[in-house]
Amino acid sequence: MTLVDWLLVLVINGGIVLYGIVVFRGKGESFDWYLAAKSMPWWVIGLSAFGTAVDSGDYVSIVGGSYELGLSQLSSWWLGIAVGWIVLSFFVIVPMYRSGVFTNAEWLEFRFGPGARVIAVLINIQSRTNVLGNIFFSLYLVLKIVADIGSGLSWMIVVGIAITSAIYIVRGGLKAGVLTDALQSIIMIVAAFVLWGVVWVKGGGWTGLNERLTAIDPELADTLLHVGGYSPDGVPAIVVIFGLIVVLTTYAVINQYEAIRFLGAKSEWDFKMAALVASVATAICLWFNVSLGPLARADFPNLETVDAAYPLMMAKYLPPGLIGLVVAGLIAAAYSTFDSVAIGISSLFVRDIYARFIVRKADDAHYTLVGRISVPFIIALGFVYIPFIQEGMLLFFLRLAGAIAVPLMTIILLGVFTRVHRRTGIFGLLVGLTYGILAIIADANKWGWPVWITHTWWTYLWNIILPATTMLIVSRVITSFRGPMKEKEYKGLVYERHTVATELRELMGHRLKVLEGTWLQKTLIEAPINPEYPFKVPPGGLPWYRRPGLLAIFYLIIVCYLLFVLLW
Amino acid sequence: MENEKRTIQLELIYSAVILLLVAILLIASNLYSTDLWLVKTMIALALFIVSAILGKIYWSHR
Repeated sequence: MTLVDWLLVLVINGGIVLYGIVVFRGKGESFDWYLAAKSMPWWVIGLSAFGTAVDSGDYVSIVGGSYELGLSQLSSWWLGIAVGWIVLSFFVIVPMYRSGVFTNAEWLEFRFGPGARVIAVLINIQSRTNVLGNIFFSLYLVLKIVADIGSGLSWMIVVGIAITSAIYIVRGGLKAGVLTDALQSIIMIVAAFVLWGVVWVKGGGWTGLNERLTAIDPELADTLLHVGGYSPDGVPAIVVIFGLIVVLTTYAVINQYEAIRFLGAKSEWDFKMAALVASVATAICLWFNVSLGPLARADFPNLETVDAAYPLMMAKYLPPGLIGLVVAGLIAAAYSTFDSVAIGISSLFVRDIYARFIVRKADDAHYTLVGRISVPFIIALGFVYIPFIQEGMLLFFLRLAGAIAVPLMTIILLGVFTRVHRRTGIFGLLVGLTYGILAIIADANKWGWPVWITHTWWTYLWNIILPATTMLIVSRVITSFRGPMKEKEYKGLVYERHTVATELRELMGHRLKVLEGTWLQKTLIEAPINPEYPFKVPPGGLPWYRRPGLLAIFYLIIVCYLLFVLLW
Repeated sequence: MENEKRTIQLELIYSAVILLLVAILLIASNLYSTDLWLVKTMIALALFIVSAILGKIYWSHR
C-alpha cells in the first residue's frame, strides 16, 4: 500500500471515528446509553443492522467460504438473514419493544425463567466474541498480505482499531454506534463494489469465469456457480441450503446486538421498515462478496488458506488509490461490528448478569458506568479465539452456530409464537446444546456416528426439531399435572397484533418478585411507550410503498425466484 | 433547538471536507499508477459533486 492508500484509510475511518467521538456524548442515563432513548429512524437502523451483520471477517471469510462452497452461500445472505430480520422485526421484537425490556435475554427470563436468561447471555457472549476473533484475524490477514507489513505491526493496527471503536461507544452508547454504522455501511458497499467490479470486468464476466473454472476442473463451474451445486458426502444440497438459511435466520433472531438496534427504534413501523433496508443492503453487498469466491478460485485454484483469497485478489487487481478505498471499507466493516458487539454484550452483561445477580440495587448512573467500563473488556475477549480460527473462519463459525445458537433460536420462536409452558425453555435449551456438543465431539473424534447425526449441516435441522419437540412434550406433561398457565402470565410476552402498552408497564414491573425494588424494576416501569407509527395513518390506509409487510413479501418473492429458479 | 441546528451545520461541513479530501487523494493516487485511472477519476468526481452540494447547503444556512 502506498502513502495515498494509507491516507485514504486514515481520512475515511478516522473521519467517522472522530465524528463518533466528538458529536455523541451520552447524558449518563441508561435509557440514552443503551437504547438511544428509542429515537432511531428506520433507515439508520436498517443500515446499522446491515453494517453490524457484515463485518470485515465476513468479507474475508465469505470469499474464503464461497471459494469452496460457491454461490450456495447466497441463500444465507439473500434469504436466511432477511427471513431472520423479518421474523425479528415483525414478530419477535414486538412483545420485547412493547414490554419495555432492554435485552432479549431479559424477555427470556419473563417467558422461560432465569436459566434460559443466563444460557442466552452465555451463548451470545460466546458467539459474538467468536465473531470479534474472526474480525481481528481477517484484518490481520488483509494488512499483512495487502499492505505487506510485518505481523507485529499488523496486530498493532488491529488493536488500535479495537481501542478507538471502544472509545466512541463508551462515550456515546447505542446512538454513536448506530449512526457511525450507517456511515460505515455506505463505505462498505462502495468498497465491495469497487473490488468486484474490477475483478469481474478484467476476468471476462460470467462467461470468462465459467471458462476459467472449467479449465481447472470440468465439474467446478457446476459446483461453484449454482446455488444448489454444493453437497458434501452424505448431505443433500437441499440440507446444505436449509442449514445456510437457518444459520443467518438464527443470527438475526438470537443476537442481542441486532435486537438492541430494533429496540432503539422510535416506533414499531420504523423497526419493520429497517428490516427491509437491512435486507436489501445486505443482498447488494453480499452478491459482490459471495461471487468473488469463485472468481478467486479461478485465479488461485490451490490455496492452502482459503481465507487468503480476498486479500490476494485485492493485491492482484487493485491499483494504488482503490486499494486504500477497499481497505477503508474493510476497516469500516470491522468498526461497525466492534461497536455493535460492544454495546450489545455490554447491555447483556449489565442487565442480565450484573444487575440481576450481582449488584441489584444501585442507581441508574452506576449501571451506565459499569456498561461503559465493560466495553473494552468485551472487545478484548475476541483475541482468545485467534489460535482456533486459522483453518477457515467460516467453517469454524458454522460448526459452532449449528450446535449452540440454533437451540436458542428455537426456544425464542416457540416462546413468541406458541403458548408452551414457562418451565419448558430450559429443557429445550439443554437438549439442543447436549446434542450439538455431542455431534461436534463425535465428529472430531471419529466415533463412527452416522453423517446425518453429526455433520454440521444436519445439526441445523436436528437442533430445531429436537428442542421444539422436547418443549412441546414437556409443556403437555406439565400442563396435565399442574393445569395450564393463566392468560395473564402470557400477556405482553407472546406475539399479539395489538397490545395496550400502558397496561404492560405495571404488569412487567411486578411480574417477578425477585426484581422488587431493583433498578431493573424501575426501568421496566418507567420505560416510555412509543407509538406503532411515527406519523398519522391516513383513513384509507398507508400507500403500498409505506407498508413494510407488503414490501417484505415482494422482497422474499424476488430472492426466492433468483435463488431457486434462476441460479439453482 | 439552536444546539441541534449547530450540530447539523457541523455535520454538513465536516462531511463536505472529508469527501473532498478523499476525492483529492483518489486523484493523487494516479501519480503512483495510471492503471484504472478512469475509475478513480469517476469516483472522485462523484465525491466532488456530493461535497459541493453539502457545502452549498451549509453556506445557505449560515
